[in-house]
Amino acid sequence: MVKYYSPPETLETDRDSLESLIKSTEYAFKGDLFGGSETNLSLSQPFTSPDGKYRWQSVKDFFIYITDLTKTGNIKVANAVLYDNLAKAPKYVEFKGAEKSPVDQTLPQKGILEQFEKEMETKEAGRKKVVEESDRQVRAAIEKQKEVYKATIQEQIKQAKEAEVNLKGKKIYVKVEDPDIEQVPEVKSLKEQAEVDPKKFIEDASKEFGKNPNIKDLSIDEQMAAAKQASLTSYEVLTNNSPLVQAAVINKVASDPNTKNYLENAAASLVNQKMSQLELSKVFFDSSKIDGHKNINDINVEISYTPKPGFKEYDLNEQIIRPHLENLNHQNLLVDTFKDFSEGEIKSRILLGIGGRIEAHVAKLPAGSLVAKAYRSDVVQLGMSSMGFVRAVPVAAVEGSIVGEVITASGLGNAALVVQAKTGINLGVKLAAKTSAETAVKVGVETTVKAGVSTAAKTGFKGLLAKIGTSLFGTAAGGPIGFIATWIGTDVLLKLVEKIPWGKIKKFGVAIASFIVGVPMLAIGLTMANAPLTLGGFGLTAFGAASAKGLTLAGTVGGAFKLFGVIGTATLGAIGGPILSFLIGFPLVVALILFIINSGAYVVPESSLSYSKGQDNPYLSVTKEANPGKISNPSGNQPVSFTVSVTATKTTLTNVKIESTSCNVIKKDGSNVGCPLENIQELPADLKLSPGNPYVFDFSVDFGSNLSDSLVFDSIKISADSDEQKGITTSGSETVCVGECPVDCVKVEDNAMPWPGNLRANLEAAVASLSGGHPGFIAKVCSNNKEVNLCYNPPQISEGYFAWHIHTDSCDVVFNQKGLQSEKDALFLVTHELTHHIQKIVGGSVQEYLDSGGFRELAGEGFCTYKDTANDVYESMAEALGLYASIPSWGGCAANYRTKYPRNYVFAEGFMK
Amino acid sequence: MGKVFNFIKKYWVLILIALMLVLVIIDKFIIPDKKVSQTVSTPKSNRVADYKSIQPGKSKLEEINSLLGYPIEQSEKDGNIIAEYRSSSNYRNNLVTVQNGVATLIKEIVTATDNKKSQDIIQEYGEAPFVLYDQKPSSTFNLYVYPTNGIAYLGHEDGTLLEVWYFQPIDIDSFISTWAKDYSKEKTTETLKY
Repeated sequence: MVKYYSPPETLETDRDSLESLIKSTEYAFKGDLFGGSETNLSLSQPFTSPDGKYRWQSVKDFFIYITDLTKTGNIKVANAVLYDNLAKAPKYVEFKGAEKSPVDQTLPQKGILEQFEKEMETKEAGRKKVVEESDRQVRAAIEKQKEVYKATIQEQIKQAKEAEVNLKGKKIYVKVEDPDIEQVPEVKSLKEQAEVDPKKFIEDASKEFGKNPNIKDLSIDEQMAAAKQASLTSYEVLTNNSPLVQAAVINKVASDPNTKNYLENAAASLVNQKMSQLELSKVFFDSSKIDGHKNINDINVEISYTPKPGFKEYDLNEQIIRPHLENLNHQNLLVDTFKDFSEGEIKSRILLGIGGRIEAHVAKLPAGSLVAKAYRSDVVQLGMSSMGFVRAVPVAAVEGSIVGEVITASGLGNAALVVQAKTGINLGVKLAAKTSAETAVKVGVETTVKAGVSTAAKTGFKGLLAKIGTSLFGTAAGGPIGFIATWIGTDVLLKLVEKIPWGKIKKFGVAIASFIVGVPMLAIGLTMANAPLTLGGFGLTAFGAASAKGLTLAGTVGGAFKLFGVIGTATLGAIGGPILSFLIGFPLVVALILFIINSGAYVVPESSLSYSKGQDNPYLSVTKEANPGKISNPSGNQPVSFTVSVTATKTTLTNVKIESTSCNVIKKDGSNVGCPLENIQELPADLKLSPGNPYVFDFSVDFGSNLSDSLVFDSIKISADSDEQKGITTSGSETVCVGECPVDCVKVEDNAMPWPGNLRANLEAAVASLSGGHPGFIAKVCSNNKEVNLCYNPPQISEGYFAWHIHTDSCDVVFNQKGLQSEKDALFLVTHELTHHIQKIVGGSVQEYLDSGGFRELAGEGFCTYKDTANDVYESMAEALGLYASIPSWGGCAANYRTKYPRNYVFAEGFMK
Repeated sequence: MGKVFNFIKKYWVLILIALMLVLVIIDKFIIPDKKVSQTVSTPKSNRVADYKSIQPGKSKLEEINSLLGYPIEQSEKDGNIIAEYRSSSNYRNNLVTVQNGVATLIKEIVTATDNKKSQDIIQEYGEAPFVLYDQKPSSTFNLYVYPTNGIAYLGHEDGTLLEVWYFQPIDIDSFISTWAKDYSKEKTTETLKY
């Protein structure tokens, strides 16, 4: 009879047991969790560990056992957990005979135990104290480091801005001698494809590079970042804009005595970035096969101060200073967003930043949609493969490591250098490479590093930071504490102020105040049969109504109802009984409300006020309208006219420019089509916008037959300067439905408050991405054949939150401005909220999530990105899908979503298909 | 007095409007939400429900084990044994609460493959006389309770079931205090949010 042992109940067990379990996991799971089937075994068959030590009634029982033991449903992670514990398990110690016991032999047995316990307690108390003190010191040191870094980078930003002013309007002309190289058909095809649809090309190239065996040892996120960056480089090389050539030009221009002073810092950083970009690309392809350039020193660059044949115009600010400033701002932002200095956090933040930057850059690339030739992804695949790989093994050393090259190539090298110096975490970055280009220009890099290293040495916390991953900031977004709270000293009033739609009711101020006090007084008076109070209440009520609409009876009645309609449930519903009592007891509040209404600019932050008026800022608003908004499928080219209206809303605006345009086409059949070409003329250079006098311009776009049965989303971003603020931006956006455009019930509507332009554009773009990228998800959202309205209504949302799924006829989801500051954030948030909508209309969705193991994987703790997901299946499911659609700016801790929450990821992948 | 009378006579319309508004305010904001979960209809059947012949209050643990197989997990809570039995889900187990060796509450897990809907229960027992609400603001499943039939189900308005509960017949308040402490007769006032 075979006797089996009971498997261990905890991980704190002996090595033999752990080794047996490790072998069992490896035997049971021969497949890849993400590669298809998890195991070759039938779930119902009995399962015995390979060494015959343990036996389970079924494979399923074994899975359940391992999941419970290791607290993870991911077998790879479970296997790693077992290995970790194996390393910790006490080793067998050979018995060498009794030596003198460290314990006083004269003490009785009980005394020995007490002595041990006492020592242990003292040691534990000491350990806690050291940990707390270290934690405090680390926090202080991190803050100090951030200050030092920020001061350094601010100084660089200042220098760059000064250079920008001095170089304004200075143009030079550049000629680069191209080597004679015969273009093979593969390269020709690749060039064509890159021009036809840059976004698609980069996407396909990235996929192709992702298969490269040279990067298989990197983490998934690192692989993605490396492949993305290299695909962008391949695009640049194919479109005659090689980073090597760019570096050569920058080098030449920066060494010119006329501009050297202004350019050397920026050029140092950019040349380093371009060279790293090229260095990284070498892991994937040989760019010299495309353009013939092999070495920066061999590139002949000529410059001229006057136009000449064969010379191209080169704007120093556009080409050098602005990208440098952008890099600096990104680095500043990156370091600012670190929540702790643990290795995982830093790497994920950096990789996330890189992903965001590349995506933003790719989004701006112009598509050559007029090229008649259709895009063919197989050409990219074949072409890329034909170029071959030039390295057999990945670079592994710190110097020239792939991760380091990705970071530097993305313009985040300086920040990473500082972080690396401060923490001791190897990010694979170093001081500027000793390329020939770098020798002339390296000031910027050195300055930054010096500051970081010297302070790190002084504070002496290097190493500790890497080990202690204590969070510096909470994950929940806390809203600003307004002046009112401090002033009044009561959060009751603060809540009241937050809930009142100021913009709408300001003009009814006196009337509302009278109503708020009068009606309750009347109520109390009637209830208590108190005549003076009744009459007082009545008087105020009547006055309130009358002052809103005039003194006629009809006007008074109409006014009364209209006023309550205006205040509506948004205010009184939120205020409720307690506030009502508060108001009855303290009529002084009326005076305060009137004060707040009439001096709103003082007590409500300016930005909040403009947001509540449906604007991104108080200065500028932009609207964009398409005419017609719906067209039938065009046989040839059908013109659609767009009207853009730019309005100054506060002060006169100058330097009004078109900052950018973006477009997205969602085809009903899921195919990829480029956007129609927009021929928008630049705005007049001397354009001045005064309040109330909008500048309106039209442009026409030809919609071709390739856009049949599609939704075309289009937005324009305008920037301007006012005396009070420079660089104000806002957007206008519009969607055109062509033919039988994809069924999309999700609408961005002004049913509550008007949407500010930027937020609307971000949300509309997010909805378009969701429709195009996750049609299965949208189909579930729209499965009850009703429109789903997304509304803007900040007063309806509690402080600290971003959106609510309220499921009413006019608004299904209400948002404030907080979670919509970028398209990525908006995509996450709208997916999360629409999941609640699915949960409301399709009960089986919750059942599916529960039975996917996703909720169980969270083990009651929820997602690291949102504390309310703990023990809440509905919020967890919404978060699981939201994170799959997009990792938001606050979701750094879930950057490795696929590996951190594998069951949730797999569920989301299946659910959104 | 006459002045007041004249005043009322002159402004009776306004007073009436004010009164109406007061009533609306009192109704909407001062009086608590009406209980929406009171008697809906009389159950069709008086039968006390059981799960695979397991009768809460009668069936003993040994009997349950012989019917459901040995529990895959067993724990203790408030002096009761909670035994977990395999269900058609890989990640949720059927739960049996055992007190003094006798089953008192059975929670049957329902998955999509079970092909079981709330209509199946309604067909036999009629509409649930009580509806209890989960206090999580984003919840979309309610607990429909038939106290006299000893059955309740955690169901969605589209008929999807997550769980079916079996218990000894009991009054609704005792049911809440004993088995459904996380549920309430009133909907939570909070809203779904992020």
